[in-house]
Amino acid sequence: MRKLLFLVSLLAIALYVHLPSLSGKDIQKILLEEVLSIGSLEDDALFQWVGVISDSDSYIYVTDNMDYSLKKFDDQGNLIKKAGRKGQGPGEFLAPRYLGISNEFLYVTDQFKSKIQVFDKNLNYSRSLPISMPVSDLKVLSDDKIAVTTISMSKTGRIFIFNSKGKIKRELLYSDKKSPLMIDNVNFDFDVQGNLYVVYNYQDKIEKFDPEGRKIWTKKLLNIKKIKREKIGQFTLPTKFVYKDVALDSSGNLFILGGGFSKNPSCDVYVLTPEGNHLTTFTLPDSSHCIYVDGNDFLYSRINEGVTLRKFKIKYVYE
Amino acid sequence: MILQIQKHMKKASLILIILTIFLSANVSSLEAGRCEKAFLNCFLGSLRSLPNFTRVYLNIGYCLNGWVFCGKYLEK
Repeated sequence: MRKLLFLVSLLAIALYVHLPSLSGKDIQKILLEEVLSIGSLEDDALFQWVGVISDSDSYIYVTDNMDYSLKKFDDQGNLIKKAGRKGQGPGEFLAPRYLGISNEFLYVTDQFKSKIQVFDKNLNYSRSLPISMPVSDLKVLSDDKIAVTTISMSKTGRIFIFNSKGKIKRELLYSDKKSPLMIDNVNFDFDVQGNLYVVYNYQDKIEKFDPEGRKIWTKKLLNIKKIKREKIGQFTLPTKFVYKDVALDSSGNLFILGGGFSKNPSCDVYVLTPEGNHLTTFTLPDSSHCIYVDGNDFLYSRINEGVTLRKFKIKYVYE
Repeated sequence: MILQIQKHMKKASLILIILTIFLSANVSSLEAGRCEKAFLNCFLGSLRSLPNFTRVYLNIGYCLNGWVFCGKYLEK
């Protein structure tokens, strides 16, 4: 009888917690509750952080552009270890950028290096994957499935999947049109089913593809028709960001960071369902170049122009 | 053969000099922002790899990557 009562209580708690999603209620708004802040104008924990990622033990890994480093923090924000210095050698950086993570390893891109450097979780350098193109975004699906977008004047509109040896296993074509330079530049993410979400940096376009690469939907959120471009030297380049980054929460909702066209530039985050329906928009406390959502639905963004990293609990308010 | 290579080298050097002059003039005349300046400096730097056109091409890719990053980081 006691056991039964215990089980019923457990079920009731589980139902209470998951009731909104089970009853099909939509998210009405999202609130951010700050839980951690790393770095400030008064300390030297971070100078100009760029990439952030966390692991299942809640350790936070950050690349810092100013001191050419990769840093590991615990869940209280204490610096556990710092690795890297300026240089061309193994484990050294010229401009450390984005981070990917697998069960064992961290993957770090560098703006000026034609490789991805791999470190263990204690930040010891392990190996490098040769990538012969500049990497503009990275998602590590496994150690043998590393997805990257690259910037190239010839091969645009595709995501490359590399294996653990740095060989291309697959190319996912998201745009087959011949577009002006940089117009097809994107950020991307994959959900647990292997669907691909692509947000264009310089176009009002968000797209979903199934694991076979077939397009499922295309969305526009801001109704922007004209791309802002400028002649810089010999090149005509886009100058204003429509979308800066994309991340998925544990339910597969998309969090899209808006750029200069948003009402609150580089602060507005648009939340879409996996079906592409706009649920709500919320605003970050400061402009950010990226957003990251971890497996426990904590959102990370930038404060103080890169001196501070903030971690927020995402609070879902249902209708 | 050596004469031919020398001829190509001369051509490439001439292109490099003209491009450098043209772009330098462009840099000074441009009321450039931080990202524009960084991109143009990067581009000029990438021309140092001439006459290795494959290298120049790749380097310009890195400059464009920097352009995206700079804009993303600084744009408010």
